[in-house]
Amino acid sequence: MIAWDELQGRVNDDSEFRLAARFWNATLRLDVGRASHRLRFEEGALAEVAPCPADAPCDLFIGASDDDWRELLAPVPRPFYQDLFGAQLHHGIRLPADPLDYAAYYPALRRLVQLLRVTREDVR
Amino acid sequence: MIALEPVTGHYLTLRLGGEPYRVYFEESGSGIPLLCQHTAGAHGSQWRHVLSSEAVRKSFRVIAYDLPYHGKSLPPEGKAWWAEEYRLTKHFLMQVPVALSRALELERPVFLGSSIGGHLALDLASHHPDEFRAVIGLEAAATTPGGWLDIMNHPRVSNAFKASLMYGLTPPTAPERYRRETEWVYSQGAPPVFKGDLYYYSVDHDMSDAELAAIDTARCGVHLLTGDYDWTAPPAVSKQAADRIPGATFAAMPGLGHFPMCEDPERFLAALLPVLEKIRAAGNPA
Repeated sequence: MIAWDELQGRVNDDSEFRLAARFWNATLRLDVGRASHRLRFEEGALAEVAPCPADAPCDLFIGASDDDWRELLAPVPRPFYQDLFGAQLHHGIRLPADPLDYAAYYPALRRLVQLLRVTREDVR
Repeated sequence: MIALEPVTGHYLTLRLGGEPYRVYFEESGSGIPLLCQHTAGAHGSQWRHVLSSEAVRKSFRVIAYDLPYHGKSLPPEGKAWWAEEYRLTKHFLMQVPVALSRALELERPVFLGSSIGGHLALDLASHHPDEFRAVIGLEAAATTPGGWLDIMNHPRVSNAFKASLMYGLTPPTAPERYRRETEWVYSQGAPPVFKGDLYYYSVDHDMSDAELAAIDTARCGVHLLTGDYDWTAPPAVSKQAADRIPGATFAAMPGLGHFPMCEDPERFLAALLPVLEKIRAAGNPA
């Protein structure tokens, strides 16, 4: 669904993301159905994107079924899929239980989701 | 020649709970007074498109105020507010539009509010039906529990989180410049205010079916409008509240979210104007 090989370049070239992610050092695991990828950020830049086990250690994660990811990454998402928090409340998006784990970088996560939308392979 | 907008600002002092509060408001137009209440943690600039709408101003005197502690309405000078947790209560909130209406000698204004303002519309119709000829609640509900969260005022989290969360309550179809403006307004709030306002939104505002059923829409009309991208007060919960109030009206607003007046003003005005016309045609039911 996602063109993973394009993601690093898109993220690092995106000025909005780089502003929102300033000083960010963390690993983010994206669980897309049964496939997981680990994104490693260093000082706000995406340093590495690589497949990983579903239980790979990480600082935070976003998880959902393939269907929920398709909805989240739709060009014009249906109601409540337009936002991670709303999609967690009303749909099947999973985030860490404690919002303190991701609140400081929520604007960066939001922008990342927008960049993931434009890297969807199946809607091109 | 400078083209000034048809909007003017004023300050006045209201006595609320015995304390003087210096309150800022902006106004435009003439005719039936229309008091506009902003959302939690924001301020009256959210109403700038309604204030400048020729279609509204020709029949309505639009008045958009900043609640105390919001926007240009600074905290009161007569109390040590910095030594207590900021918390917006139903009792205090209801006093503001009532006191403002009396101070300006308005003749039974229409009340229009979104989010906490939408909830307040219902509380005013229940507690002060003789003060208002009608209320219009945007994104209103009988109750919206669960939002009074510590994360909304945490030392390790900046205002950018709250603002970004609010961006996520706007619809993806709205003009990006207005989605970002909505987010910007939220980033301007003093750190404790948004969470404190959510005390009213999620705790103190809690209307039973019996209270809703007792609202007399012959004295004070009730009209609810809700955007279908609002994940905190979805259309279904607004409709549920409207269904409990005999004579109330409800309409979903496709393609709008939690901040209809500022996230997509053109689409919002298309939904609002028929309601205002209905209220204008009904006259003053008192």
